[in-house]
Parts: sequence; structure tokens; C-alpha cells
Amino acid sequence: MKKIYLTSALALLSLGAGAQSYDFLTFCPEGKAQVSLPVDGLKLRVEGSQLVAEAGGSRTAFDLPSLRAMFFATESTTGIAAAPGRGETAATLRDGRICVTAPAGSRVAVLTPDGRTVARHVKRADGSEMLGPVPAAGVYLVNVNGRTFKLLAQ
Amino acid sequence: MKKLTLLFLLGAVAASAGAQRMKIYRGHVCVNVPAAAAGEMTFAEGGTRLNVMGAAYDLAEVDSIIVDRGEVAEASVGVRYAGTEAFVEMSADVAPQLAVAVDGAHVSITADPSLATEVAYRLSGTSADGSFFMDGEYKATVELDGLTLTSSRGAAIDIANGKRIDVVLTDGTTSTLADCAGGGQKACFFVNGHPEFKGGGTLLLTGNTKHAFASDEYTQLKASTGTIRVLGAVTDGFHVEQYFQMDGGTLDIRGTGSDCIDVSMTKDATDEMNGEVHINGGTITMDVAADDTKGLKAERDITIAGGTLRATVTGDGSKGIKTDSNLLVTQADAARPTHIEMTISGKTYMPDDPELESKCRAIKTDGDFTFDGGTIIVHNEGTGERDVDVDGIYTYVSGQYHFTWN
Repeated sequence: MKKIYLTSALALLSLGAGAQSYDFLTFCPEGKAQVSLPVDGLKLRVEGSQLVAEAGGSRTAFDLPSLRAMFFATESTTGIAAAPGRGETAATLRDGRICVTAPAGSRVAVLTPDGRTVARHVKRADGSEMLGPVPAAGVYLVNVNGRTFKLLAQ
Repeated sequence: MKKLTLLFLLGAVAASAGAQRMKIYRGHVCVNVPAAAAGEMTFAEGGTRLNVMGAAYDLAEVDSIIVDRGEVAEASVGVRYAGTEAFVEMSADVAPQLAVAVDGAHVSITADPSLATEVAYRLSGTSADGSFFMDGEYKATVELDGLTLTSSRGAAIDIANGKRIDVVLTDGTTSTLADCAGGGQKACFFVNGHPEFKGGGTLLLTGNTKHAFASDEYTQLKASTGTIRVLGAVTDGFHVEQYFQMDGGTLDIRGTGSDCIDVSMTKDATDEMNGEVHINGGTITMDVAADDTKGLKAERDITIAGGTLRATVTGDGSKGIKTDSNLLVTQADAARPTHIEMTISGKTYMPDDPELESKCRAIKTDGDFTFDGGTIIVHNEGTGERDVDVDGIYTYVSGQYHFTWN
């Protein structure tokens, strides 16, 4: 009987976990990094040429003419750049490996959220370059020439 | 017990997880977008428009967008009346195909002909000056959830949609409708198509211009129907074209200027059961007080195979049951016995034109009357008139027939 109750409890919890919980609304400004805002209490208003997002006392404004899209997300993707064009800088995760797009000679540092350095690299060529795999699941901060990208490895 | 409680709580946690929705407010209309179905929402035309699930929203008309947690039922519209205002909420999946207009507490919703989904409209709240109009070309559901509506402009509810309309009386609620006097509407509650009543709630109707309820095609009261009361009508209580079928529920009609239930044929001779009445269950109570009127009237056959029918016929020249064709009283199921009980006290109706003279009867058939099961009781209170008048052939097969005279 104990096993039945335990199994039922785990099944119920996993049911809840399996149901997608879209905790973020992610905004995609044209040519800029995405911005994810928590949805709890989120209110959007148009003020002139801006879309203003307010929640919990914080206020974020987006230039409407430059705003491409928004979507609900299960996790924050703040800092993830738009698909880079020529000469732009970006850091993304592909198949568990960090991919950096930047000009040759760009200085790249991979850090954990508490500031520990995981790796350092100097780009050898223009365009995209695959760095090593991330050591474990979690959040990583990739600094490229002073610009920081936040990546979540699952 | 503790373990069951824990399981219940875990289940509640699991059920409440997720289900975010985005609410787009434009005046008195709100579109509910389920987060799980929203996909990518794009901005267009220099950021002046927002595209969401096939609909384009002019941001200049958007008052606000709020994200909260709540379920969004598919193909659903909620209309909430609040005094001089009404608020409409609709699910984003059908919003692109619904044209909504709100003028004070008068709501009009027209579905595009391309809409091929059954939309459920739920009406609630109170207004002393409001109405609901709906049109479309696909079947729909209209739920009356504790709605109190008086219209100053015509019908309280006008369903121009000519398809099957499920009219749901929400269990445990009472909805009250009244229309304006001196208007051009056919009824306080009008359905152009064929309404099927269900749900255990209560509906009160008052027709201040003409009928209390009218349909241009058949009307059915399903077995689950609760209570419908006509409090008054200038003409008929229920005016139905094609056929009237009652399988359950309680129908109480009084205060009518004309017939309580009037069923007439449509112009299409091929329409099913055209001009007929079929009573299979439930309870009908009729107060036939106006002169020269009928309780239950049909152009074609009336079949009573179950249920209870009671009528008090006090109007001069009035009839409890009248058919231009045949009447069959039988009992299809002993579990739902047929019981007809009428008290007649009206005298002969004698207008200026003697051709229009009419006698008071419990039952009058222009055709045959076959009695094969059930109970018929007639109390004749000193009218000196016959209880039953059959122009065709009367056939007794079975059943009980009781007469009393005062």
C-alpha cells in the first residue's frame, strides 16, 4: 500500500511538472538580445511609440517600431542575441557546445554565475566557432569582448 | 486519511500548475490567449499591430495586455452584464471570426460564415437595459447562467442563427428575461433556428410586445431541462414553428393574451413532423384565461405519450387542447405515466360576429382522437359545455377517463 501511495504521489507531481508552465514572456527586439520577463502580474501598455511592461514595481520599455515579436517561454532567454548578421557578436548553445560568433581576435570568457572561470579563448577567425562542451547542466555567462550572454545548458 | 489528503493536495498542485493566459483588452471586449497556444506573436506595420493566433490587433485600440493564470476554454465567449454595461470575453481561437459590438449593455456578436466550430456563449449578470443578439451559420450553444435582462430595444435575446442552438439553463440558477413593449420583435426570447433546451436551471420569460418565446424551427425540451415559466405575454407563451417536443422539465405558462403553446407548420412541406406536438415527459401547466384561446394548440397531430399536462381553462370559448388534425393520448412507459387533468369553467365565446362563436372545451380535435393509455381527468365547473369535442373518430383502447361536474 505504501508503494501505491508513493507511486501515485510521484505520478501526480510529474503530471504537474509535465504540464508546461510558461513563466516568462520573451521579447525579441530586431537585431538585439532577447529580453525575458516573468509573467506573474505582468501588464503591458502602449505609451506613445513604446510598449511598456510592468510587474512587481519594475518597468521595461521596448521601442515598438523595433520590436519584432514576443512569445511565452518556459525559461528565461535574456541575453540570447538575435541570429547574428555579418560582424555581429553572439553566443549560443548547440548540441551541448558553446558556439561563439564574433570577429577574429575577440576575447571570450566562460564563467559560472558565481564568477568562476570555466574557460578562456581568443577567436582565431571571423564568424562562428564551436568551443568545447559545457561541463555540466546549468547557467553559464559567456563574455565576448565585454558583452555578456547568458546560456542555460540542460 | 492523511495519505488521501496528501494525494488530493498533490493533485490540486499538479492541476493548478501552468495555464498562463494573456488577456488583450479593447474597451469592453477582452480576448483570452492561452500561453500554450500563443506561439510567436509578431509586431507589424512599424509596431502598430500585434498578430496573435490569426488576429491582428491595432495597438492604438488596445487598452492593456495582462498576463495571469487561468484556463481558456476553446471556442468560448462570456458575456457579463453589469447594469448599463456589458463585458465580453472570448477565446483567441475564435476571436478572428467573431464580430463583436457592445453599445452600453446591448451586445451583438456575428460569426463569420467561415467559422466551423461550435461556439459556447455564456450569458450572466444583470441589466435593466440590455440585450443579446447572435448570428452565425454554424450550430452553437447559449448558456443562461443566472442572467437577468430587460431590453428597451427589442428582444432580450435574439438568436438569428438558423442552426441548432443548445440553450443550457445552468443548474442551480434562475435567469429572467423581459423585452420592451411596443417593439417590432417577435418574442422576448427568439431563435431563428431550432433550440434544444437542457440543463436544470430556471428561466422566467415575459413577452411585452408579442410572444414570450418563439422559434422559427422546431423546439425541443430535453429530459434534463429544468423549469421554464412564462409570466406573461401579449400573445403566445411559446410560439413554435415546425414541431414542439418535450421529453422532460417543467413548463408553466400563464398570463398570455393568446395561446399558451401554439405550434404551426413552416412553409416547407417537407420539414420533419411539421406542425406536430410530441409530449413524452415532464410537466406542463397552463392557465388559459383569455377568451377564445388554447392551452396546447397544433396545426397537425398531437401525441401525448408521457408526462403530466394540467390546464385551467377559464376563458370563454377557450380550449385546453386543440388540434386541427388528430390527437393520440397513450402511455409509452409506465415509469413516466401520462396524466392529463383540466378544469374548464369558461362559457361560450360570443363576439359580435356569430360566425366566430366558440365553445369552451377541455379537448377539441378537428380530426380523430385515440385514447390508448394514461389518465384523463376533466373537472367541468358549471359551463354546461361538453368536455371533449371530436370532429373525426373517437377510439378508446385503454386508459382511465374521469369526469366531474359542478
